[in-house]
Amino acid sequence: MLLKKGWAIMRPRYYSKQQTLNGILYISPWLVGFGLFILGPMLYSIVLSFSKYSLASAPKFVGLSNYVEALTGDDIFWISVKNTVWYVAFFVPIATIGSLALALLLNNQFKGISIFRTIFYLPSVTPIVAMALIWVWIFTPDFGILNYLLMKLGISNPPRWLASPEWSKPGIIIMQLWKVGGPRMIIFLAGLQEIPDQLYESADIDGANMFDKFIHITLPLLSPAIFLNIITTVMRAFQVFAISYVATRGGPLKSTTFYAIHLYNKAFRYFQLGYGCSLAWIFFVFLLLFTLLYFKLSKRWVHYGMEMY
Amino acid sequence: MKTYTLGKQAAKNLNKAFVYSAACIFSVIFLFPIFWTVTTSLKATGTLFTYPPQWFPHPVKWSNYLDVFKDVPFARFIVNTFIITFFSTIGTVVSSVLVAYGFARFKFRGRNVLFGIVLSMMFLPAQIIIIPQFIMFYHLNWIDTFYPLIVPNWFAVQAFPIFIMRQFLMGLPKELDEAAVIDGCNSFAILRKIIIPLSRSAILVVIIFSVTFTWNSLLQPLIYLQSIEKFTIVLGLKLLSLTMEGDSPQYQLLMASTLISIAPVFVLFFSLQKYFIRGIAISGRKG
Repeated sequence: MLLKKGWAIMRPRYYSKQQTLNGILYISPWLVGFGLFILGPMLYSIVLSFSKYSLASAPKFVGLSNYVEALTGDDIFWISVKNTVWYVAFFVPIATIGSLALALLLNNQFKGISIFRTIFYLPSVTPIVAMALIWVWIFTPDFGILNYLLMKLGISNPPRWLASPEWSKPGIIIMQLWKVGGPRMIIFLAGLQEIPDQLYESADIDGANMFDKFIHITLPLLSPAIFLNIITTVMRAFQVFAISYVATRGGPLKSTTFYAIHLYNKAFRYFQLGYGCSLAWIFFVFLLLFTLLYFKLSKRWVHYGMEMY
Repeated sequence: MKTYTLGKQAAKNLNKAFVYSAACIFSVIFLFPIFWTVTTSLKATGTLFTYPPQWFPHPVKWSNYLDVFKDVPFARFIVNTFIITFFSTIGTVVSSVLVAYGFARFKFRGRNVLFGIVLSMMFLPAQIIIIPQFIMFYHLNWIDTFYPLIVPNWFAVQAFPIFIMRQFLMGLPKELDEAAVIDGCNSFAILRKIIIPLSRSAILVVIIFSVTFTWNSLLQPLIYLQSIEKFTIVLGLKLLSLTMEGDSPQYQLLMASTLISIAPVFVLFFSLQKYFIRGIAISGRKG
């Protein structure tokens, strides 16, 4: 088998003209779209990031000054970086563990399981703006239902949530956690269902307890799903925008001014488009480095297939 | 021996009880915000801020749902959202089927590299292209039109639908195509007569993705649509939330319009749930 595979790779590749022509023809919508709407704009935005531009007059080349301004002269830049890192650092672990816990719960076989799955999933199909408005109402400090319930539970001085700079970020995390039973959980659930029962059965014979089984069977075999979920959650979390834009508008006291909010304000409220592009490129390079590092480190803990057993 | 089996049975029952009660508690938590939205949307102005709060609206004010349409042109927003969603989705389906077919069924130099680029686009942050795209559409005079929201979708700019379709097509046996070639079909006829009819479920996954994505998006409409009569539902909600600030915010109207915006997506979800789940499961398996 292996030898055959090896030979297939060694064989000089030959692509028939017809195959090539047809293939290019069918993918041409993407080729055009990628060039026009993605690659072209990206290249243009590199140029713009070295310019001053506000639609009113032609872009003016200013060298590195946008970047220097962002990193040394823009207070809100660093506030937004701190807010975003804080949010990612708390949201990602809680959301990952939460989705995994729900998936483990639904991985039990009992009647009515699909109803629970539907209920858990439902919040994640709610449009994010609708979700933000619903939670703004729930979080209302004086008349909100959440603080009413907290007071009933004996908390006499409940947080003022989105109205206070200390509790606004936790509030936003709670809102986002409402969607914890969404796609992330489904990916975990699909991963759990692919783990063969025999592994658990033979562990039972060896006298392993539930904790052992989780650490030595479930986690390693689930590591590809964990890997995928963490990177997608991190990417989304770094780009958090809509919920803050609608629910808190970056406030109070800039406590929810995340990076994407700052970028939006600079580009589309103050029309500093060149500066906005430089913010976007700082962001992009950071995310790229983060992703590469993550992929590199992942080799140590992500196990593909069953070769370890 | 007997005590052992009994103990095992008891443990099983205990486990079951635990799982059920945990699932029920979580269900209550997840459903509560929706329940509270429904309750609020049916309240009269005077019963919004009572203490203790009313769990069930009394009197039930159904007319809130009509009042929503009086304050802002909400019907207009619904129509706009339907138009944008409809044409975006058709574009996404057509282009992603064609592109996925090209990637799945034809061999050519650079194919894997190009498909790698498609995959990496799933991780591309929107922020990096949104400003230059805005400038481009500004120079095309497309600001405050639906074009910037629709046209790119006809060129397969969404990576996820291409990925889903291509994964599905790779799983279809090639013998089907080969038989059709012998019958004298060209590649487009194969796509139309064999591939597409077999790919209904994958196409449905793409449709669901595109509809929910377009329906829920905030950033793009926010940037491109400026006059109120062009607004989508999402922008309309944002507008409503601003007009309701002040001494007596009309939360019942805001919650009623929120529910109106949610309803179509929920209907779609309840009727095609299995396809929502399938799309995600496919993307997870590749991971």
